[in-house]
Amino acid sequence: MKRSPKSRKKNLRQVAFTRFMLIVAFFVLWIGGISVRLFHLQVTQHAWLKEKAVDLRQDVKHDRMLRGTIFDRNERALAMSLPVKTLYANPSEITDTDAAAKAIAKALKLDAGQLAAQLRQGKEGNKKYVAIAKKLDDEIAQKYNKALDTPDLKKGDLPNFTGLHWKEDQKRSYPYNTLAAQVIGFSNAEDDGKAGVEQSQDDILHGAVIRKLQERDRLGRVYDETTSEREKPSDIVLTINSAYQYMAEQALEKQVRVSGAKSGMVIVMVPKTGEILAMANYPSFDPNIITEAASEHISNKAIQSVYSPGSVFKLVTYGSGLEKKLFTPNDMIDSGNGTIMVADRKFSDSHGVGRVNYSQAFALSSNVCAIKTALGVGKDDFYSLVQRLGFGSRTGVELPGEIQGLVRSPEKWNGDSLASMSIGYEIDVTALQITGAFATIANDGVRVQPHIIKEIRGSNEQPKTITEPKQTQVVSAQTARDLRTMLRQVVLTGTGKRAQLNGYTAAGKTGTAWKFNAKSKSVDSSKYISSFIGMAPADNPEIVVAVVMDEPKVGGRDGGMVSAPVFREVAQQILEDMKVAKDAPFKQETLVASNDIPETPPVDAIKAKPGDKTEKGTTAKPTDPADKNKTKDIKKTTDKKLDAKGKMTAIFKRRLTLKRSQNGQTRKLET
Amino acid sequence: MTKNRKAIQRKSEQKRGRTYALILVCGLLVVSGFFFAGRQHFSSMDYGMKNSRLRKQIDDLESEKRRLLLAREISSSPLEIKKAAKKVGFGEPTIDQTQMAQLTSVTKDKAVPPTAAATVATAPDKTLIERTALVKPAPQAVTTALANNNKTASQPKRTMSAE
Repeated sequence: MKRSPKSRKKNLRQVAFTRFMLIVAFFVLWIGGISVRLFHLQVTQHAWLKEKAVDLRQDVKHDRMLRGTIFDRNERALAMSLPVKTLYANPSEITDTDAAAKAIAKALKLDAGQLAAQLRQGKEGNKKYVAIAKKLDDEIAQKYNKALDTPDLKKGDLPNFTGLHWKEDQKRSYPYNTLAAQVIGFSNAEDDGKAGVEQSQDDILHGAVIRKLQERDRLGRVYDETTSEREKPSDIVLTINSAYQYMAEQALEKQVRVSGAKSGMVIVMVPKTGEILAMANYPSFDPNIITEAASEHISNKAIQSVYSPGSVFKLVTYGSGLEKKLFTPNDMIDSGNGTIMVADRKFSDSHGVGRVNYSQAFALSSNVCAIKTALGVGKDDFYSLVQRLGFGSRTGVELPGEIQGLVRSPEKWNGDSLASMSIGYEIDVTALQITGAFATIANDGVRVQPHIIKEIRGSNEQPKTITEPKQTQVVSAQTARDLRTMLRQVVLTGTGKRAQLNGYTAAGKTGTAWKFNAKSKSVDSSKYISSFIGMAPADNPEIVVAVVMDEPKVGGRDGGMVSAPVFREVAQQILEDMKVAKDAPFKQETLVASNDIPETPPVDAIKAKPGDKTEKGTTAKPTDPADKNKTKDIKKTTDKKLDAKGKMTAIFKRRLTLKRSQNGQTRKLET
Repeated sequence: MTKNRKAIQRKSEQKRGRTYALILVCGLLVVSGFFFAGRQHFSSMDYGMKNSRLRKQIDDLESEKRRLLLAREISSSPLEIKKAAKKVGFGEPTIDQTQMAQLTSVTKDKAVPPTAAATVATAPDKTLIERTALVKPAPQAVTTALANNNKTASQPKRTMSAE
């Protein structure tokens, strides 16, 4: 039975079709299987797989930009950040923590037990960061890399050790150690400014966190890097001159040690621009080892602590009188018997001056004459000038924690407040405020806001604009000139003789004020604040230097004895360095010292009445019996009727033989 | 009839040949495109790596610059200078020495008589360094001579009446 050719053809077609369908089915199944798998991978496991792929290929790093640098005015770096590295472990990557800890400890010479405990703790807490060695220099980091190298391991980054990585970090360095430490301040490990310019300018100096996206190949080599654009932190240029700062600090340290003072401060300022060239505090601290610094040494006392200025404040008293045109420096004033009663309180001079001109009264720091002047001026005008000179308000210097001092408004004054304030009591000022007041007089009555930042430099090295310091005419140029003449007299013939310079004229005022005792709520006659604030050259001052010593204990303790020599040392060196033209002949300093006129706070001045509300800064009667004798001595002289010149000479001679009793020690001043 | 068939056959063979040639050209284009893209990819990766290395180098150099700047500042800081001075045998000047230094610098300005100046400069003292004349206090005679000289040079008197 033979099949017909038609049926054979049909069969062949069927076979071919079947085969074709089988192949199609196979392909459909195959592609279907792939599609299902793809669906599973791309849809259901999408997130997990993407994360895994990104993890393998990409690295996201968060680095903080290096903190801005602080320079002095001569481009010397006072604070600078350096890139360093921190070695850390990711415990989740380490399988055998004990073995790893042992190996790491052996390579880095660490305590294996402690390290193992740290790693175990990290692993249990699912931590990805356990710091092993912090803030290492590049050299040490390279040494560690060599020590930790595992030859069989293939790892993308260094060190070639499972679970260990480097983190970019930064370290702040202060190359000049204690120099201007209170001004510069310091920043902590988190790069946050905690004191000084570091704190006040933290927004400018602070480095932003940048995000780096690195693409790596299978060997861990970076082949693409995307960095988020952030502006680099700016650098800050201070008005401080590190050389002058050093001079000031050295002179201050020496005098604090010699006088046994508790602390001291020096401010050097350019009156015409308000720039602060130096701001020294002693004792100081080293911001590189902040953990060892005593907290009381960190604060910048020049702006953060107040004191009663004492006789230095007579500048304001006489200034208000001159401004009101009540007198000229050559007019005469009579201090009478050296005492004055104001609102049932007796104020007296430690040494009577009799009838003298205003310049001489100022030079000899007569309390009675100052009080008489203030009473002539009146409450309102006096208070107005106090305010205009910047007392009772912050100077606005770019430093943190500045306090405004204490100046009460006239409504709150007692009957004797004007008298007390005229001689620098019942008022609390900062050293910078009083320096600013003297700078105003040095600058022909124009008050320029003190500032310490010269320039803020952006990332492109271009200086950003800085607001010009405010300038205000506080007193007339004539008043300022007259006051400078009077201040000059203080240095030439008065209490500030030790401030005389070689080759330069100097003008200034001494101040010796008792400190306020919080316990007894009155002033403590055994504790002084001795200050000298001066300017040079006297006719056209280039610098104003303020020296304030807290509680000098050894030797003469008045401003003329303790602080004026510091002024001389600092001003002399700075003026010579600034190449200021000399305007006076050379004077041999050793000859001057023997003609000192001591200045003391108002002897027998104010005694706090029983039950009175004693304000901070109010003077009280000293308990030293020697002072009483001294008053009697001087009274005898003042009773004599002498002409002004003769009287001054007599006082001067008498004073030179005056036995001063201070602190249980008798000192004879010799001609 | 056969003539026609042959002509048709030749035509279709030519067409097929052209098609094959076109496919080959396209294939070659695609392959060369793949090669080109691959080459570009790997060279971009290579450039990326070079770029990354250069960036790191810049960072390292900047760090080094900072390190050197800091080292310069540290070495020129007063504390280090003092240490270095001590190492080479210099001590801190005493107050007398400082005063003498100031005194002599002024005497130069004021043209002090050569005898006095010479005494200061050549005053013998074996214990002190000889390189400078300012290391020892002036003898009493010199101080007096200088004081007298100043007085004669119409200096203002240091008394209150004179001021």
